[in-house]
Amino acid sequence: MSHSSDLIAEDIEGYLKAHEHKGLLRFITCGSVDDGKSTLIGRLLFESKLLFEDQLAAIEADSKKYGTQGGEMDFALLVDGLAAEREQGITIDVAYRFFSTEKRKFIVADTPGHEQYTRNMVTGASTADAAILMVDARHGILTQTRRHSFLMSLMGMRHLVVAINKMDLVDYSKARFDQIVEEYRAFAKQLGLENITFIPMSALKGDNVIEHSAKMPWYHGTTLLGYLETVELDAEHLQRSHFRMPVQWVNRPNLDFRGFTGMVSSGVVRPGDQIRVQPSGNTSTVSRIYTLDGDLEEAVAGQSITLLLDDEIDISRGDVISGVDQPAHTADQFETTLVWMHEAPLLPGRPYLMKLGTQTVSATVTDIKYQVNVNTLEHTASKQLDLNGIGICTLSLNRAVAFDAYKDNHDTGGFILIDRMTNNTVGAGMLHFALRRSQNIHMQHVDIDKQARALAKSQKPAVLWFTGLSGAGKSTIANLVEKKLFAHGQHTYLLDGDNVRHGLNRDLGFTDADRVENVRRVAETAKLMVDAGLIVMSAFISPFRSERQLARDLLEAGEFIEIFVDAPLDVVEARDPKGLYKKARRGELKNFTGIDSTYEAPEAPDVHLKTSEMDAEEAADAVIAALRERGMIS
Amino acid sequence: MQAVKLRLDGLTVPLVSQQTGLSAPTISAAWKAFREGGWAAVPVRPRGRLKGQANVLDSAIQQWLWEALYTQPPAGKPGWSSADLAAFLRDEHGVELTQRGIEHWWENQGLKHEPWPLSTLAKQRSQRGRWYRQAVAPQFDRLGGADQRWQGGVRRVAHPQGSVYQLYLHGLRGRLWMRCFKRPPLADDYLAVMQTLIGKSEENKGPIALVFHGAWLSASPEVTAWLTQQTMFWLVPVPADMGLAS
Amino acid sequence: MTSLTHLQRLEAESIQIMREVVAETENPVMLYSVGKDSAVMLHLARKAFAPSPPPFPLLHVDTRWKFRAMYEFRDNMADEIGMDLLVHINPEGVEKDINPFTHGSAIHTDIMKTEGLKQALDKYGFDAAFGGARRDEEKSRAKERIFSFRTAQHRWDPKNQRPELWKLYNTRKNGKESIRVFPISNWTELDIWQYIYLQNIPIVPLYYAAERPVVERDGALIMVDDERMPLEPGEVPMMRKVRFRTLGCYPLTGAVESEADTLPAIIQEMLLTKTSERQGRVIDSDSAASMEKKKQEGYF
Repeated sequence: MSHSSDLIAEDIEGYLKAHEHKGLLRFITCGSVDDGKSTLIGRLLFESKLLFEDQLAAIEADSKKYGTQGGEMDFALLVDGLAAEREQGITIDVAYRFFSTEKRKFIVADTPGHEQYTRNMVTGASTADAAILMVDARHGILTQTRRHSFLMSLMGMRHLVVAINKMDLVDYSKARFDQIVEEYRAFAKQLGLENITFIPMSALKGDNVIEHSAKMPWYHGTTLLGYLETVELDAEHLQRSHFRMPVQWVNRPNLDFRGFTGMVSSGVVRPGDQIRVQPSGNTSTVSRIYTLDGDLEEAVAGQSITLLLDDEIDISRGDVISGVDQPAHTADQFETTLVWMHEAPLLPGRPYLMKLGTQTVSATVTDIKYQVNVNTLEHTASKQLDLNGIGICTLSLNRAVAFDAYKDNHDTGGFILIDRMTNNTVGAGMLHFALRRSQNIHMQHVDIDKQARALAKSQKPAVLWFTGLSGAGKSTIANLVEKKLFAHGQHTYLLDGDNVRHGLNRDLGFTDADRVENVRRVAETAKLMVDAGLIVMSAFISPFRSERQLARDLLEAGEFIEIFVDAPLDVVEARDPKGLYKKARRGELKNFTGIDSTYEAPEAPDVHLKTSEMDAEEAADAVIAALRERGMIS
Repeated sequence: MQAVKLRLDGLTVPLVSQQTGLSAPTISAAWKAFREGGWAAVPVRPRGRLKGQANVLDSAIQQWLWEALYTQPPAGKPGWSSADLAAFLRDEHGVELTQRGIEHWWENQGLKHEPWPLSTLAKQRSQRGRWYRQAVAPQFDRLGGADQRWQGGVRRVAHPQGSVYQLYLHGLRGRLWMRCFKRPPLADDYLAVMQTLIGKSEENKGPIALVFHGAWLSASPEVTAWLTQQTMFWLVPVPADMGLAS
Repeated sequence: MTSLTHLQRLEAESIQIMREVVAETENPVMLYSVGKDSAVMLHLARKAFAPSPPPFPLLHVDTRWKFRAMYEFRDNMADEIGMDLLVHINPEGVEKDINPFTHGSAIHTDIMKTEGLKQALDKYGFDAAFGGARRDEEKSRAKERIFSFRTAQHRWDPKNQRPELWKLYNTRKNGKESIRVFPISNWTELDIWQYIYLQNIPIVPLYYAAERPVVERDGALIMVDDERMPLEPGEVPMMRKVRFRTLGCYPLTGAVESEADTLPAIIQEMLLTKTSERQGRVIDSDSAASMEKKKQEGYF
């Protein structure tokens, strides 16, 4: 393999010529150090001569000192640098390593095997063309093997090598090899994994890694490296698929040039091709594929390009350009598989941002159909997904997006979820199919609209959203405000625990998930009432910022007025009008806000009422003043 | 071993050959052995050719020669010539070695230096030619005899013993004088050499021109101060990348 | 079937990253160090946005101690491409005359480079900065994300980095956070050289072997690039044929003896050399495990 040193020394130009045409393969290794994963990566790096002398000398010395191989070169020491970092508490999801041969450059995604394996592996697998699954020939298929295989099937890995390692420790036995192959095949069938290659190997001794092993004359298949050098690349496989290009950025240097930039995620495009833009559905024809070095005659999956079209149609970032006959689908409700990647759990009903291709939209999980146990593959019912949890979920978006099923196209079917408050990447998911509803249910178009109803009442409809700890005075103040508005001739309605908890939301308790759902229903109800032209007051603790944000997002700009009824915990606990704090302190009330459930104070409320400094009457007047200031009432 | 280390440092086979005195096939073989089997596989053979030639010097003699090169040359000499070294061996150690034998040893150690064919540059239409006509010829033309035209320089020679810094000079008919240092020469070292050349010029009653390569002498205040006082010594520095040897 | 070469794939990935940043951030900038990695990054940026010039300025955090050839090259380059070149030198460092000789490499680097960078980013309010770091440079970079978030104080919080899946990058920031983006993360040193060779990308001549005046300091060959380099008593710089594998402040950057004066020869030398690239950087040998620390403090 490797860089032929003679060619380098004697004919560097010839060498460079030969290496211009190398391809690029990304793969992931699954397994733990015990399976010989590090030894394997170390050997591949070593054999491709990409180790430096200083590193080599250090390993040689370390091998004698710490090595497990009796003074022989211990390749595992090359790549085990991650342990120390883990001790320092540094999150390592994936470390990337590089080596190359005459045929290909390789990027290896190396994931620490133990903790956080789901998140790490899913991340590493998302960009890989192939996966190497390490199996210890002595132990055969273990729980870990099943778990890793499941994750690879989940991520749509198209090529899988089961490297049955440490054959030297089972006397290079064909029978043992066959036994493991048979067992694995049976299991893989369940998962629907295809394209599996089995290689009997010894990473330590080098059998069937780079060269065919003389110890296993019964094996006629490829060596591991031979496999990696020839296995089909995803980018090439995708060339046979339909043309897709998510638009990243519109390049408009002057009036005569309007280029749509992006990376071709599948298929081929040529000037003259008819295209369709999703979700708008507009069509046009490709006129040029522009590059700095001259126009291209065609561009294929994996290339970053700039497309020019014949017509001046409206296209912006987030749109997907497809071949005209087989365009991407559009929908706003999906069945998906979600992998949760954050300590804060996924709560159905909470709005997240979803990034799919170059589109970013608001998304809510409306239902977790079931959660999958990665070890047993059992399905269990679940109300939330915790870190590393995997669930089949229904996802609802605030608008339709262009997509393909993940199995057809990872770029237009794979997405991440972002927390709206922390901006962390909290989940990753795969779109399976659109749910019918979204295509059939269209919003009833009514002639009598919100504006008409509001006009009839001579007012600007709005939601006055009172939030604060229990006992802070939300309901009292809201009541006073309503009286004052009513006296002023306004049409109002007050939503509070008394009229909602006993009816609309009586099925809900006080867990975080239920609180989220409680607020969602209140927000939706408030929205309908605003649509009816009313000024709505809602008085709920509503402890989470993201739910208040959800309510704000449901309404139009200026319709949502957040009123923070601010009283310190010690004050409300002293007041304790309903005796709830005492109960909570005694442990009789669970999930009580301020005691064993958090209250996320608004960062920038529209109105901030410090009730320890004013009485209810003054507070209500402050609200009325604020409404006047905004021109809500005269 | 040395050859492999130099290769690891990125030197090409010809360069390694130049610096170690090993033949290209020997270096390639050692390199190949290293890449296949690591350090353990690199053959460690005694230096020199395998055919029993007489030019493999006794290690004690080599030691003496090195010691001499690291010390001041005989009084009045700009460096050690092969004749000086032969005399040194004979007088100090009672060893007879021909000048030819010493020059052979120089070659093996990478200490040999060929004089540049400066006069052939006179008609060349290259950068070198222009430099010669503009910088060297005007000085040379003002000199009477060829023995007033000197060339020399300083360089580092990679050697198994470590770095050797060599000052070399070529006088009449390209004769080679040299001195060695374990560190880059200092201003005084250069000045000592130039002073001896001036001594020679006084004998000859004519000025001396020295074409010099490998040191940025004008960066040294000591050397610059000294040069301005001299009327009988002209220094012509060789500009960077003139490639005189090629 | 068209087979893309590894360089085409790497190029496409880098371009995709750069376009994401331009589409999703408000005020991006490209850190331009004048070295070969910067040269490749800049070339990729030109490709990504052609026929427009890259829609962000170049920022050079200068220390006043770069090689003269770098300044010359930098100014010519910016002229030719027509991009804005912002040069920032830490004024406090200038006032205190911070330099590598009296203050040592650690303080010099910290004040002129690390602090200088933070100042410049704050001064112009950049919320995303492209850097030319690669994962193969050293072990601590292997796990570095392509989008690396820094706090308002420019600190790197290694415990709070976002997973990067598929080609999706979460560019959303909290408040005054900023992002360092490394579009050539997946390139190796060989890829860089090969690309420079194939695309004919101009690089600073210091990468090519030439006779240059050098002195030895702690075993490293330091070029006497100007009269500020203090010579030892009696010291005379030697003219030796050397080249630089990496460029920085000249008093802190070791040269290697070399005959490689063409790109193929440089690549040849690189392939046959087995000492790591960063070996020439005096900054790293200060303390071996300090890279992580430097990064946490805001060093790029």
